[in-house]
Amino acid sequence: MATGFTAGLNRIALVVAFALFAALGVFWWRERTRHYEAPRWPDASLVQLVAPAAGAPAARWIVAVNPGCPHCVARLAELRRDGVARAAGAALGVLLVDVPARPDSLVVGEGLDAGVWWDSTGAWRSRWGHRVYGETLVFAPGGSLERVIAPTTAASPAAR
Amino acid sequence: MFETMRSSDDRVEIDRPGTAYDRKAAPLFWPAWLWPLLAWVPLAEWHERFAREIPRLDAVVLAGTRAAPATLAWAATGLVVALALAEALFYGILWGARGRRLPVAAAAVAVLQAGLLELAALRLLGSFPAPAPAWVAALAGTRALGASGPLAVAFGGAGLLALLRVALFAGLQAGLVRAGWREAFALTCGGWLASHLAGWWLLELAQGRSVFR
Repeated sequence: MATGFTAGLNRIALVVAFALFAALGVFWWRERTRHYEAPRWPDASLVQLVAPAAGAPAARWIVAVNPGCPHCVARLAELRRDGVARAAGAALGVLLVDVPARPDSLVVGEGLDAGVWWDSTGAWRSRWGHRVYGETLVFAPGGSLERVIAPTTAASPAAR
Repeated sequence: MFETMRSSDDRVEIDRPGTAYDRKAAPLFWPAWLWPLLAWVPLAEWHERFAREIPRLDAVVLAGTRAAPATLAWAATGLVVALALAEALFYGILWGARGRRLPVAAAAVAVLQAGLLELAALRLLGSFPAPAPAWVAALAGTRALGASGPLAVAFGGAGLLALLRVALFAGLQAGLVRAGWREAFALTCGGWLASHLAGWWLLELAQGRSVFR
């Protein structure tokens, strides 16, 4: 039986749920319509932990890696093993993201042609508006962003 | 007056047309002896599915937990029960705000029963790896085509089987609250749309915030 008291409680719960839903919608809309900078490589705010290899191609595949995320590390290992960046005529590098303190470059291993970079100011998330760990940012030799390869997508040079 | 109630031993009426509520009939929409079976059949199906699928998960995912796959399968089945209760409670609140009482336990069993259609959709998807034929997508939703991203995850299950699930759950609710099917269907469609919209927004906002960190 829905008494007046419980019906009143239900209405309050419904109003609260609707308010939360509306707040979530507004927050999502603000995020979605926010204007972010187009990423460019290299960016002055990024800290270089390991210099790019001499003679490395000017085109770059930069993987956004958070050292605490096993998916990102697995994705990086997959890209290194498959050598798709090299096959596409690009150098593979790493951007360490969402790491508050200066990380050790060895967390991602050695031998990355495009070097290892630390996003010390959170530019990847706050200025570029990116969020997906393990994504690969493909930069043209001029530094402009050509495309982003999702971490779950097969990275094929032919897809360029 | 909006809600003036008169009660007798076994019947309560709310002074509003079409809102008579039979205290004896509604909570026992199904015979009591059938309840455990009605809940058990879908739960056994879900558990069997989890027990089969969890060991096949990406090694990276499994490395993030110390629990054995069998434990994870039971935990996932428990989550199905919790979600069914949450969905029943949500519709209980919706009906309650309209002056009708939806028995939450019975509604949760109805959610589990209607969820058998989702299991059927998942079985269909398992038989036709993405990209599946168009008729599979029509039945099981666009997830059959292999689309990815938050929008595809949130609404990828919207197919004929999902529509049938909504219609079936609406019918069961209509029986439980003694309301018209159209009213229950409109309410359930609204609830489905709102919950999936919220899911889409949350998935977009949570992108990249890995739970496996």
